[in-house]
Amino acid sequence: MNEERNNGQTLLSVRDLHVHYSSGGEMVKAVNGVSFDLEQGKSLGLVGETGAGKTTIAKAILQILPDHSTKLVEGEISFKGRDILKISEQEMQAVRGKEISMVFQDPMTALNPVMTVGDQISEGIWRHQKVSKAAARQEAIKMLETVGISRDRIDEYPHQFSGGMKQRVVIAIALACSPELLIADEPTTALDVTIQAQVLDLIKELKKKHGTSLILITHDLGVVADTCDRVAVIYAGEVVEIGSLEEVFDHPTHPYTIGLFGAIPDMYKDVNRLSPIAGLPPNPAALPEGCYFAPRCPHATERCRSVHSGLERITGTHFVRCIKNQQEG
Amino acid sequence: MLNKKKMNGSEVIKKTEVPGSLPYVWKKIRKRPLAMAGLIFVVGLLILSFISPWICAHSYKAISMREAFALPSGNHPFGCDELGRDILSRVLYGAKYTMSVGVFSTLISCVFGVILGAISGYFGGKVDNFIMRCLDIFQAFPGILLAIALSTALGPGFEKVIIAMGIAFIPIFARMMRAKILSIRGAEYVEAATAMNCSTFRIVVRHIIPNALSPLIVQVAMSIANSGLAASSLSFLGFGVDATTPEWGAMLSTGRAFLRTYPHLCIFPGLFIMASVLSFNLVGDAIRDALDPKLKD
Amino acid sequence: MAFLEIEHLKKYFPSPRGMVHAVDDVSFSIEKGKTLGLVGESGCGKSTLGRTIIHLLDSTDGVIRFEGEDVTHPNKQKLRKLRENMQIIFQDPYSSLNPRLTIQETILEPLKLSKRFDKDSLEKEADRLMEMAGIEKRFRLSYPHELDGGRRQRVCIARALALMPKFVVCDEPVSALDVSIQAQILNLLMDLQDEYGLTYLFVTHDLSVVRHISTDICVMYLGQMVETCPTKELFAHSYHPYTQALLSAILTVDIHKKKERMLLKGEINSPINPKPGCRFAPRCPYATEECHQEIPLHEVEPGHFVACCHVKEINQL
Repeated sequence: MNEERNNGQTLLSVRDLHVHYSSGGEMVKAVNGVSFDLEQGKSLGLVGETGAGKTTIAKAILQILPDHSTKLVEGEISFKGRDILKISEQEMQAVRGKEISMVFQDPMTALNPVMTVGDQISEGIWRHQKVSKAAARQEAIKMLETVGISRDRIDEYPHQFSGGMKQRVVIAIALACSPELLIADEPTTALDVTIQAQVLDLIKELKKKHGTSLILITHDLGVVADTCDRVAVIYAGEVVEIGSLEEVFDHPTHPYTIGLFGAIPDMYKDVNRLSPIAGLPPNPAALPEGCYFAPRCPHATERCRSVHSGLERITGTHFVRCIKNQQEG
Repeated sequence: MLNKKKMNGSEVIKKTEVPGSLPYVWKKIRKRPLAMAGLIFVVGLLILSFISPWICAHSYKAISMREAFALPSGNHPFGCDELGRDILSRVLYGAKYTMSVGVFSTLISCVFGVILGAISGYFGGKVDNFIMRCLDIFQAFPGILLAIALSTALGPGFEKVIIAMGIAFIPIFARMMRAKILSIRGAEYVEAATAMNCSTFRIVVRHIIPNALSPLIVQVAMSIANSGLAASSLSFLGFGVDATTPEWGAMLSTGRAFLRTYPHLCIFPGLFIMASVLSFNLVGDAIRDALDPKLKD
Repeated sequence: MAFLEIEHLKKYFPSPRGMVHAVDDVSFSIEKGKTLGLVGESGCGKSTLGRTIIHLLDSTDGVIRFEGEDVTHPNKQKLRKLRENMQIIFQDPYSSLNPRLTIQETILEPLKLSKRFDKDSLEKEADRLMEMAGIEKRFRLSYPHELDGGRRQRVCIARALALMPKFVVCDEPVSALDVSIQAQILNLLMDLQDEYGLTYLFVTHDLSVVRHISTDICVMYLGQMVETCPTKELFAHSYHPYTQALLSAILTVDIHKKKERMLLKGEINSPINPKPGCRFAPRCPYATEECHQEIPLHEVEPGHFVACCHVKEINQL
C-alpha cells in the first residue's frame, strides 16, 4: 500500500478501509481499501457517482453503519492519533457530534419535525458540554446567528423554514459543539443554485473561523473546486486519484477523472457534444478482476483487465491508480 | 440507501418476477418460516374444520351430561364443556365459523371500501368530500361498538354478523384505497399516459388500479384476522351467533362462568383464537414485506 | 411564422391561502428545430409552464399557437391530434414509468393508443424505437425496476418519441442522473433533434446544461419572465440582476477562474397573491420604490428582452 505522507498536523488518517455489507443475499463490496489523510483545518472532497461508496466511507468514520447488514469493517481510522475503529461504542458516542459531526444531504429529513430548532441545536450542546440548559440555549442562539438566521426564530419548528434555511439549521446543529471534523454529505444537492452558493460560502467561512476540518462528499466537481483543498476521486469503493485541488483539476490523470471532466457541460467551454463515459459503474457485488474501471476505459489493455494497480505517486502529493500511467511515467 | 446503490451500480441485470405479482409474493413468503407456519395453520385448520364431522370421534353437538366438565383425556383430548360436548370437535368445527366471518366480512368491506375509495380518490372534489364525511361519521364510533349496534339492529344470526362486521370495516378500506389512488393519480406515469391520449378508463384500469393493489392485499390479510377476532368478541358479548353454534367467541363466553373451576373450557378456544389471529397477521406481514420494493430480502 | 408561440400565458391555482400565480403573463416563441431553455429555481413555475403548453394543465388565460394555429382551447379531436405532436419527458425516470409494465409494453402503449399500427408492425416499431433510444434488445421484457436510471430515461425518451412528435417538453430530464449518464442522455437528445428536426422546450435549473443544449434562453422568477435572449448573448452579457446572480452562483470546475459571487439576500418568496411590480425586488440589491410598478419585458438590445426598470443604470447602457 502506498501511503501518502505529509508534513502538516494530521487530524484524520484512514488506512486501507474495507467495508462490505450484505444486500439481497449478495456480499456488496462497498469500500475496498481506501486510504487518505486530512490535515487540521483543511478540506478534502470525496467525488464519485452514486454507489461509489462515498457515503459508506463517511458512515464508517462515524461508525453509524447499519449493524444488521454490515458484514465487515476493516482497516484503520485514526482520529487525532487514536484508532476509532477499536474504541467502544460508549467512547465513540463522545466523539460523535462533539469532535466529528455530519451534515446530511436532505435537510428535510435530517431535522426532527416536532422539536423547535432551538431545542435541536441546544440538545447536542448540553449533552456534550455538560452545561445548563439555559446556557445551552444561549449557545444555540449564537450558533443560529452564526449561520445567518435571526435569533427570534429559535422557537420555530422546521416546517416554518425553507430548504436553504433548514440546511443552515442542520449546519448549526453540526457545528454547535465546535467539532474538529465536519463531514458534509452532498450538503447542497437538494438546494437551488443561489441557495447552494449561500450555504457553501457559509461552510467555507465557518471553516476559516473555527479551524474546522472538512470532508465534503459530492458528485459535483464544481462544488469541490469551490470548497476543497484536496480531492479524492472514488470509483467502485476505491480511491482512483488523489491530490491537491490544483494537481487533480489541472492535470486529471486517471481515465475516470478525465472522463468525469469530459462529461460535464461547463459554463466556459463550448463543445458540440459532451464525451460521456461509456457503460455503467460495476456491480459492487461482482467487481471485475484487474482494474475496476477497465470495462469502461477507452485505454484499457489486456494487462489492465488482469492486474489490479496500486495507488502510485505521480508528482508531489498526486497519486493515481492506473498501470498505464505508471508505465509511461 | 443501500438498495438504491445497488440498483444504480449493477451492470448485471437479474431477471426477477415483477414485484407485487403473485408468483413473486409466493416466492417471498416461502422464504419466511413463520409466515409459512401461519399459512399452514390456517389452511390446515380450515380443511380440518370441513372434514371434522367425519374424522372426529364425537359430534360437536352430542350432549352427554355424564361427561360434563370432563378434563382433557385420551378420549376427549381437549376435555368436555358444561353439557359434556367434546371441545376438540367444537373447536375444529367452529373454525369455519370464525374464519368465514373473517373472510366474508372482509370481502364485503373490501369490495365496497375499494369502490368508494376509488371514486373518492379519482374524482375528488365534492364527491370525495361527501363520501369521506359519511365515512367519518361511521368512523366516529369504535368499530366494535358499530358492529354491536348493527348486529342488534339486524338481529342475531351468522349472516348478520358477517354483514355487521363487513359494514363496520368499510371505512378502513375506503380510506386506504383513496390515499393510494390519490398518490398514484399524481404520479408522472399517469401524467405521461394522459399526454399520450390515454382514456380515463384505460388510465384507471391499466395504470392506477394495478399499482394500488399491493397495499390492498395486505389490508385483506390483516382484516381477516381483525374481523375474525371482532366476530369472536361479538359472540362473547352475546351479540353474535346464538350460543349453540360452536363459534370460538361464543364458547369463550359460556366458558367464562366456569373459568375458575374448569379453565379448559376457555383455554382451548382462546388458544385457537390467538393462534389464528397470529397466523393471519404473520401472513399479512410477510405479504406486506414482499410487496415493499424497499425491502429486498 | 413561429413554430410555437405563447402569448400572455397565465396559470393560476386556487389554494387555501389564496391564488397561486404559478405562471403569470409569459410570452415567448420557439422556431422549428430549435431548443428554448427555460431556466429558474424551484417554484418559479417553469414545470407548470411546460405542462400547460402541452395541455396537461389548462391555462387560465393567454394564447398558445402551434404551427400558426390557435390551440389554446382545443376540442377533443384536436387535442388528440395535438398530443401526438407534443410530448413530455419527465425529470424522474423512477416515477415516470409504470412499474407493472415491461419496457416493450411501455413503449408500445402510445403506438397502440394511436391505432395507427397493425399487430405485426407494432413489434417492429418497438424494436426500432428501442434501437433509436439506445436500449439493448435484451431489456425488452424487463421491468423498469431492473434498469438503471439512464436506461429508464432512455425508455421515457423512446415512449415520448414513439409517435414522432414535433415538439417535446424536456422537464429536467437529466437532473436525477449521475454525471457520466447525464452526458449520455444529453447527447442522445441532441442527436435525436438533429435527426428528426425536433423542437425542444428544455426546462431546467442548471444553467450549464442549458448553455450546452439550447439555442435560446428564457429566465423565470416566481412565475414571470425576467430575461430572454439567444444563449450566447445571455452568457456574454446578462442584464437582469437575477440572471446575474444566477450566473454568478454557478460553480465551475475551472479553478483558476475565481469570480465575484453576487449573493442574494433571503429566499424565494411566495407565489400566492404576489404584490404588483417586480417579484425579484425584495431580494434585489438595486431595488427602489420604482420597482413596485409593473414592468413589462422590453427589448434592451435586438433580440434581448429584460424586465427590469433599472436595467440601464445597473448595466450602464
